[in-house]
Amino acid sequence: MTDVCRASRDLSDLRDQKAGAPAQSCSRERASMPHSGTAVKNRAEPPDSEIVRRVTGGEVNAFELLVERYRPLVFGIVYRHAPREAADEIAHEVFVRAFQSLKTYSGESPFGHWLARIASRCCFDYFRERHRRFEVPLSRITDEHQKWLDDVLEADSRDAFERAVESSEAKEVLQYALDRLSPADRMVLGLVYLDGMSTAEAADMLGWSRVGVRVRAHRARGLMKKIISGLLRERRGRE
Amino acid sequence: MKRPRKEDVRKVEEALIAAHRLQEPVQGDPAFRRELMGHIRGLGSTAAEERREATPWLVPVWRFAAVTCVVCILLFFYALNTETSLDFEVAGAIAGAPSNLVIAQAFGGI
Repeated sequence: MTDVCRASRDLSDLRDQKAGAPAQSCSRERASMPHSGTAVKNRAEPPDSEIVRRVTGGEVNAFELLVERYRPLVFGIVYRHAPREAADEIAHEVFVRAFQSLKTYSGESPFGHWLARIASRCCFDYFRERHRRFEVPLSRITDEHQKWLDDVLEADSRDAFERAVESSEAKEVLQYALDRLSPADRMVLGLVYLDGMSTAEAADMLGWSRVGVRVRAHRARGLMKKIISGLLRERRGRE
Repeated sequence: MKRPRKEDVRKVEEALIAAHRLQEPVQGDPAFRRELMGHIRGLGSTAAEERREATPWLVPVWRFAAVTCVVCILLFFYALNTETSLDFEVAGAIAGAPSNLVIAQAFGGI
């Protein structure tokens, strides 16, 4: 599986579901995904709308089918936007919220898209709650992280760059930078610049206005660049 | 101290974006589904019980709610159009009832 394919898998699945179009690329991987429309048809499983109808009619156990089908999607979103140690708790909250508001699901948009919206908002709520409780991130930049910056800047080939990207330091530096943003900036930056969503899609996910998301995304990216500049200055200071 | 080059900032930014997209989705531990469904079943049975208990009471209550709203609106317009002042009527009622006279005097009304 290529990096790009792996990275945008969940997002493109959502888009495909929304557009009702089959995937053009990475079709082999997508066909094997439990939440893709293709997989659902191949296994002759009941469609989402039928399961939703059964659950809202009182057959609570049928909700397990939705959990099994959409667990990779929900965990994919939660892992990308929240710390790993909180992932189970947030994913649990996502499914509980979905169950409680299942009656409000109109069926106009694909169920996966509706659930992704809940997942994004749960991640945002998690950071908002953490911010409200003044839980200051403790991540620090160490010599290993400085060396990672050196590796990235000195990478003269695609392979060297990818090796640097795949290292654990890359994720730690990203975490360091994201922890220094406000919950709203972090969420918008995550959806728009890291996931590659359009501002319209991010606005839909978070339930905010498009203009608000565009302005915040621009500001958050500026802040991110400042944080990176700070890291690079620190690196030069040590040299 | 010199500002870092834009090119360097862009390169690190690209690396961070790529690192974010590399994260493999992990599906939680095996107990996740069991715990979640336990919670969901609990919520489901509570909701069903609440529906069963609440429905016989709620239906007539909500029917009365609409009637009550209409009556309130009518009373409001009636009160707007009447010439008598509510303050005087209340004061008169208190003063007229001997048992309430003491209360009215205590507040310095009479």
